[in-house]
Amino acid sequence: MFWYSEEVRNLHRCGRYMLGKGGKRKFDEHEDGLEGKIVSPSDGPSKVSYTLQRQTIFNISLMKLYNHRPLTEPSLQKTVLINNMLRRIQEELKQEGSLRPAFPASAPPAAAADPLGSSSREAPPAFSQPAPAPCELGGAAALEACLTPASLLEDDDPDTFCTSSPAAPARLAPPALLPPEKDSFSSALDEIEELCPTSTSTEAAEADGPKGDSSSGGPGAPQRPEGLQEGGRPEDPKLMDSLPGNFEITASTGFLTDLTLDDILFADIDTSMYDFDPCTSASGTASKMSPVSADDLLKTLAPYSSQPVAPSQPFKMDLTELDHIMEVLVGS
Amino acid sequence: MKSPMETKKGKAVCGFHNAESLVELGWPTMPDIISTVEFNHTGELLATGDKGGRVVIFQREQESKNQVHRRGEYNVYSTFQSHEPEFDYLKSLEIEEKINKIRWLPQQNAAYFLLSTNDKTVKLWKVSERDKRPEGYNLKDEEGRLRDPATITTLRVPVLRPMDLMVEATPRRVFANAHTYHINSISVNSDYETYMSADDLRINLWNFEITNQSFNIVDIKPANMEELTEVITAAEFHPHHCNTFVYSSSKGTIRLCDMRASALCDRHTKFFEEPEDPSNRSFFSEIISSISDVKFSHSGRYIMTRDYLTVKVWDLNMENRPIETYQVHDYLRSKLCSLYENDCIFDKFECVWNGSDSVIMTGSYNNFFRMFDRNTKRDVTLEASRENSKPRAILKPRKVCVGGKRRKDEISVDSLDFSKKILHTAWHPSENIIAVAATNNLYIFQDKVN
Repeated sequence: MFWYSEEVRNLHRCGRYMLGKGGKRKFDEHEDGLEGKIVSPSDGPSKVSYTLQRQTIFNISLMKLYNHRPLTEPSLQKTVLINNMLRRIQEELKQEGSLRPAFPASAPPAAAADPLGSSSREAPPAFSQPAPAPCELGGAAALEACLTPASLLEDDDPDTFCTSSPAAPARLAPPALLPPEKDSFSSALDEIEELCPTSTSTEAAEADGPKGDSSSGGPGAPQRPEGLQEGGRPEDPKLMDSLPGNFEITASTGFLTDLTLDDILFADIDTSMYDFDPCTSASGTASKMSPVSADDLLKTLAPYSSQPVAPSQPFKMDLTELDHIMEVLVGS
Repeated sequence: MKSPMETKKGKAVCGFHNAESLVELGWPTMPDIISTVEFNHTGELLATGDKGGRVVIFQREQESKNQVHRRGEYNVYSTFQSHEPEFDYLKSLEIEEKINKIRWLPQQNAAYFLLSTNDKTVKLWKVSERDKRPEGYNLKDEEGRLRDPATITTLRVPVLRPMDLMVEATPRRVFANAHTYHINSISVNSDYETYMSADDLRINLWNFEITNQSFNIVDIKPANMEELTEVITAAEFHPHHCNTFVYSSSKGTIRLCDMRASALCDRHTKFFEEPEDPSNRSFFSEIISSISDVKFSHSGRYIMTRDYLTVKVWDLNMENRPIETYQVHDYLRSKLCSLYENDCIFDKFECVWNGSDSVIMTGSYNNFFRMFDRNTKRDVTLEASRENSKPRAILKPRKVCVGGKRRKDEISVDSLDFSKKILHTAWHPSENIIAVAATNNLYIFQDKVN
C-alpha cells in the first residue's frame, strides 16, 4: 500500500524528534499548550486536549514498562506507579463507554518484575485478542496524538509533524475504532475509501465502525489502517456503540504473568500511529502523523524485530511493504 | 572476611556559610555518584556512600587556636569498599553495589560503627584507629620468614610503639538474604540493640548480634501480586521510643506502628494522609504524592515527609493533614508530563531537619537546594555549584522565574538542568553545617563565624 510506506518513511525520518529517555533535558521555550493546564474531561472543547493528554500518557507508560535495563531488577515502586497509571486510564476509558477498553499493561515486565520468579500464570485469554493498542480507544483522542510525546504536545512548532497547535484539535481526527486485526484489514480499507470523500463526517466512521474483533491478529507492527476521521469530536458514543466485539479486559497487571511473545506482540504494540486519513494526507492537512510516535513504536518493536514471528493470520499486505517495515525496524 | 582496608588521613577542603547566605568551597570530585550522606551523632564524622559501593568518611578537624578561620575542616578519614556487585543466579539479574543508605550507631567506645546497605544486604562496619603497633617480635627473621622454634632461645615481649595513624574499617556483621525486594531504608533503634531494614514490601527487625535471623514486622505483599498497588518507600524508628516506627508509601500515606501491639505490625496505630486537593488533580496526582523520604524530628514530636513537589511537616497527634506544607519547586507542576516521560518524576529527594528542628532542607534540580525556616516562614534557594561561586565566597540566593519577565540573575524554568539533581543532603546534629551531594561532588557549608 502506497500510503503505508509513506507513513513509515515519515515516521522514521522524524524519529530524531524523539527525546531520549532520562538524562539532561532542557525544556523548550515554547512549552505550553497541553501541559499548561490539566483540563478536566468535562470541559467541552478541551475534552479533546484531555483525551490527547491521556492518550499520550498511556503510551508513555507502556513504553516505560518495556524499556527498562535488563541487567538489574527494575524498581518495583516505579513499576507499580506506572501500572496504577495505566489502570486508572483504563478505568476511565471503560467508564466513558468504550467497548474496547484499553489493554492495561497486562504484560508488564513480568519477567523482571516478579522477583519471586514464581509466576505461573498463563497469558490471559484476552491476549489472544489482539488488543488494538489500547490507545485509540478512548473515543475521542486525536489519532496522531496517540503517540505524541509530551514534549511535542507542549511544542507548538508547526515544523514538527505533530499536530498539537491549539487550532489543531478541531481537525484532529478521533481514532476511529479501528480493527486491529489483519483479517479486517480489507474491511478497514473499505471504510477508508468510504470515509474519504466525507472527511468531516463522523457518521460515516460510525457506520463503518471497525469490525475489529475477536479473531487474533497478526503481529502488531504494521497494521491496521484505519479510517481516520477528520473533524474532532469530543465524544463518540455512537462510535462506541457501533463497536462490535467485546474485548476482555485484563484487569491484572500481571506481575506474575509470563511474558510470552504473543503477549508482547499482540498486547503492547500500539499500532495507532498508522492511523490516518488517506484523504487528508493527500491534501496535507492536519492529519500528519507525529514523528515521534514512530520512534516510540520503533523502540517498542526493536527488541522483537529480530524474532521471526509467523503471523497467525495471513495479512493482506504486500510483501514488499513488510520488507520495508522490517528494514525500518531492524535499522532502528 | 575481607581484610581491613586502611587509609591515611588526607587533606580536603571545607566551606563556610552563615545563616543568611552561604559560603562554599567545593569538594574534590569523587570518583562516583554519591548516593547517600550522613553525619554521625556528634557531627564529628561525615559518611558518604557512592554508586560504586564505596564509603568515604570525613572527619572534622579539631578547632585550633592558630587557625580560627578554618575551624572545623572536614578531611578524609577513611575509605573502604563496602559492597561489591553481585549476581542473583536465580533471577539472572545483577545486584547493584550502590550504597542506598548509611546509618551511624551511637559511639560506645573508641571505635565507630556504621550500617551500610545496598539493595539486598546490610553490613555493619567498624572503623577504628590504630596509632601504635607492637614491635620486637623475635619469631621471624629479617626477611619475615618464621624462624624454626628450636632456634628461639629467649622470650621477648613486644613493645607498643607509636606509628602513623591508621584508620581501619572491618566488616563486623553481614545481614544478608532477608530481602526479596530492594532495600530503601535502614534505621537504628533507640535501644541501640536492634535496627530495621525496609524494602518495597517488607520491613525486618534485626538484632545487631544475630545475622542469620530477622523478624518480619511489616508485610504488605498481597497474596496475588497482580493486586499490588502500593509499596513502602521509607521507614524510620522514633528517636526516643524504641517500640514506635513509621513507614511511608507510594500513595502518599504514613503509618505509625507500635511493636508492642503485635508481632506483625500490619495494622497501624496511626494513619497519616492528607485529602487530595481536587483543584490540583491530574494524571500524575498519585505519582507526585509518593513519599520519597520520611524523617522524625529530633524531638520526636513531628515527622517530615518529602513528595515530588512539597515537603510536609506532620504532628504525630494529627493524622488528617500536615501542619505545614512547603512548596519546593511548584513551577514544575505544569511540566509533569515531560518529567514523567524522562523519568525525573520518579526522583527520590531526601529531606533533613536541622539540630533544633527549626529549619528543614531538601534538594531540587539544577543543583539547587532549599531551606525553609519553620518559625519565620522564610525560605531560600541556594545552588551547589563551583562555577557560580568563588571559594569562600558567600553564596547568594537563587530564584527561579516562573513566567513573565525574567529578572537578571533569575533562572527560567526552561533553563533548569534536570540532570543536576540534589537528592541527598545532611545537617550536622548540633551546628549549622550542611553537606550537599551534587552528583559526584560533595559540598560542605558552614556558618560563617561573625
